[in-house]
Amino acid sequence: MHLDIVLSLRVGSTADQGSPQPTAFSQHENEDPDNSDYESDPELEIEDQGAYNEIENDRQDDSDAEDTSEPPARGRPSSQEIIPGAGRLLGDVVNYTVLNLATTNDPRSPFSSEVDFNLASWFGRKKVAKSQIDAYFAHGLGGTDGSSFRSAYTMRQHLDELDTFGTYLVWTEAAIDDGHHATTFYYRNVIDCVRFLIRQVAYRSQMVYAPVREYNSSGERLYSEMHTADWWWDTQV
Amino acid sequence: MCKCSLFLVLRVYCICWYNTLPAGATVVPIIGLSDQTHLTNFSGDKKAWLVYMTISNILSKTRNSPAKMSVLLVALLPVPPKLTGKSSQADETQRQINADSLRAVFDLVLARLHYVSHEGMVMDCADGKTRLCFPILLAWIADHAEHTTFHGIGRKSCPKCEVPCNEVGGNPRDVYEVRDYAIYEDKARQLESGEAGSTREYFRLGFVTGPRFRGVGTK
Repeated sequence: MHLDIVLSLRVGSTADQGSPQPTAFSQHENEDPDNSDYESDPELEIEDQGAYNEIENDRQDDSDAEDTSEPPARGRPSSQEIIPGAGRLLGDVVNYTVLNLATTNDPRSPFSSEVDFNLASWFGRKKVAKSQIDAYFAHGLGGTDGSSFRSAYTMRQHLDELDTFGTYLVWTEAAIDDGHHATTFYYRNVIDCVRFLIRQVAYRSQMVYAPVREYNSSGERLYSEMHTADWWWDTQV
Repeated sequence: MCKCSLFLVLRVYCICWYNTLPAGATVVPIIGLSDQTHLTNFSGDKKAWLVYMTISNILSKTRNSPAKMSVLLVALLPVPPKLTGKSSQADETQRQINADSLRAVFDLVLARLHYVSHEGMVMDCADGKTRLCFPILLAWIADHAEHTTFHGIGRKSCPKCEVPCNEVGGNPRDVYEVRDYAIYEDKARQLESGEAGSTREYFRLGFVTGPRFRGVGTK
């Protein structure tokens, strides 16, 4: 018996937002409000930036917590060893400010007010159907003026504006045929997912690009985050 | 299409252990996660098979926080049909089909990763700079059943070492050989090309819990 797997590809036109998406991926739609939520939430941004040093300290505190028998001073890295040139910068991202306008400019942009923003956020989080959103406005519940969106469609457009990198997360539909049944499956481009994650401004203060070896005052090696351990170092050198 | 078993996770995983990266490179370690998720009772026992990924460049505090949403859904794998249990021969064939199709799917999903982890790719980073990034599949977080499926070994075997299944959980001081999936793959290839005898003996004699091959039953 000889069984062959025939892999047939049907690259869906998922880049086109208007096209019907497979129902299994309705969460992709729902992800966007959340994404846009944290990207544009100014408090989070500010907190992230201000908390950077705090977080650094936290990490060191974590290693303290693991090693309770030692005096706190020993758990703090007093010296570091790095690989010169690792994670070297090549240049600037083209249009960096333009791409991240939504997160840096008016915190509520493209929504006109906090009420609007919260409404859209609630619609997204509660997974309100498009028809229900339209019905909400048709019944005049959204007020008469001042709202920056009057339908599910315009809300969607605002969200697309916030979600600059949504094109990275396109789904591809494929089918595998083992001779008896064809089974459909879906996948994203792994590399694009990496690119999506690594360029998220929301993680800016939380990113590391190079390994480091940390030592405490008595010269003992300290391990905390992944980039302070050996694998990363060995792979790099 | 290759009929040998799945060594997919380790195969990609091994790439960069032997290569060092050019100076100035940025390592982007990828963490994969997967699990079969049970969806319905009494109506066909529907399952979803989800594969997620995240990158280790994000500090663990953020990476592990559900609210920061740093884990992306990468694939929904095809869920194989349930085994009928009518005959062991048919079930064994079905298992082999499942293993082959899983491998084909992963080859497809990780195909670009395979290339880019060798060549690198200039990526835009969060701080507004570009770097030459090497995404490397570093870890696969899954439960035991998932690991055995991916490695094509029996449910009672250890994916890390060649402990026979009746000695699992035995003396903790016993040390067993670490599984070398490259050897298994070679053996599987030999089986394909017709030098089957040696493979059969290899797994019968040495390792009762070797990988599942067509025609070589595992106990």
